[in-house]
Amino acid sequence: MIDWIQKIKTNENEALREIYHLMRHDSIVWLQKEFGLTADDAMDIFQMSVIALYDNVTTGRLSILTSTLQTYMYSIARHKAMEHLRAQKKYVDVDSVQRIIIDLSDTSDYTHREVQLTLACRSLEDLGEPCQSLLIHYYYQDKSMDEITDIMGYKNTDTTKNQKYKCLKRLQNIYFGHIQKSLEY
Amino acid sequence: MRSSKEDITLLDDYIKGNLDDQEIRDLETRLATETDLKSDLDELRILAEGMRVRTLASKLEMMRGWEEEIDALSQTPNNDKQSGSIFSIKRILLAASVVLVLIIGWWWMIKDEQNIQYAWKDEDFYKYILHQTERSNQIDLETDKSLAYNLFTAQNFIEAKPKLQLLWQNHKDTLAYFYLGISEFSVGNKEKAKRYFNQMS
Repeated sequence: MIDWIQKIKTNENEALREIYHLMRHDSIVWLQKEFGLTADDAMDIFQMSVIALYDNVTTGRLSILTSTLQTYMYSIARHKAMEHLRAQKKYVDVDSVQRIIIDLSDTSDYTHREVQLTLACRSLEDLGEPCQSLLIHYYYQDKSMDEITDIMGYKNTDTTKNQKYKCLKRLQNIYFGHIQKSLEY
Repeated sequence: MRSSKEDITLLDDYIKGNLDDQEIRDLETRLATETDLKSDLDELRILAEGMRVRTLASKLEMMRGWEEEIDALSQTPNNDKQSGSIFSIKRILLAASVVLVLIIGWWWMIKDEQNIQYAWKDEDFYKYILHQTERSNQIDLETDKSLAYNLFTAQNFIEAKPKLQLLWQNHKDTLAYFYLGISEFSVGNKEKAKRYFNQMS
């Protein structure tokens, strides 16, 4: 039995590609048949299910797969399909950032949070590399300073800590700039 | 963000759940009174969440790119079902061709095996050998007649038949004709054998 969680942690893009191609056809057929979805909606939900799998592994919410990969993916897809049918929203032409924000949003504070997250993402894009990767390794992937030092090729963990602080300051400045601009309109 | 480097580190550990109970209580006491610290925490949370969103969005972009590759390979958009069934039909046709070739090959082998596998018992067969024979290990190859008769005697009916046929056609060899009948019977061509015997009578 393949340890998909370990595969994702070791080489995430390659693992996701493998999972994507392995599960794609059957998942889309199943979603269309089970929930009466169009091909486009089934594709969207399948992609968001793969995203959810990746997110759960990265954030530590999924550390052991107690069922088959298909069973796990289908349970995510089922949940998303039910949400979709309730909301009856269309996501075909929504850009990636907005699509993720919609999927992750708490509907009680949707608009304000959506704006904040959109600006945060834009700030990260403006920040560029290597800061973007460093901060993502630290805050999202929860890697240790030692791991980040190895990945980024820094001299030692003190250098990594200093670099991380500088990157965060830059990001905050960029974000503040975007917030100011958004308040002008 | 106005907090010091040390406070940023403290906020980082708070967000990541790395503080013990006492440290959490101490920080939360400060957060209740220090508005700048609270504001920095809120901002840090949004930025951290933004990193999550940004990463997931890049994975989604990657998947959308794979879909474009798949569409390009299949040459028509949303062609999954059609490609799937065309592929299945090709597989079925290929499998059917292989089976047909195997059946033909098997039939061909069986046909020949049937022709050469019929073996008379010596005491039954030798009553049909009407020419003078000398039992020996050496086969006389000097004349077509000898060869044809020897092949027949050895029950090699497949090779004997064309030679016996020539003997009949060229020399009206009635014994060869008779042997031809026996040969056809031996390889399972009973109707043909009957015709030979009927003409003889």
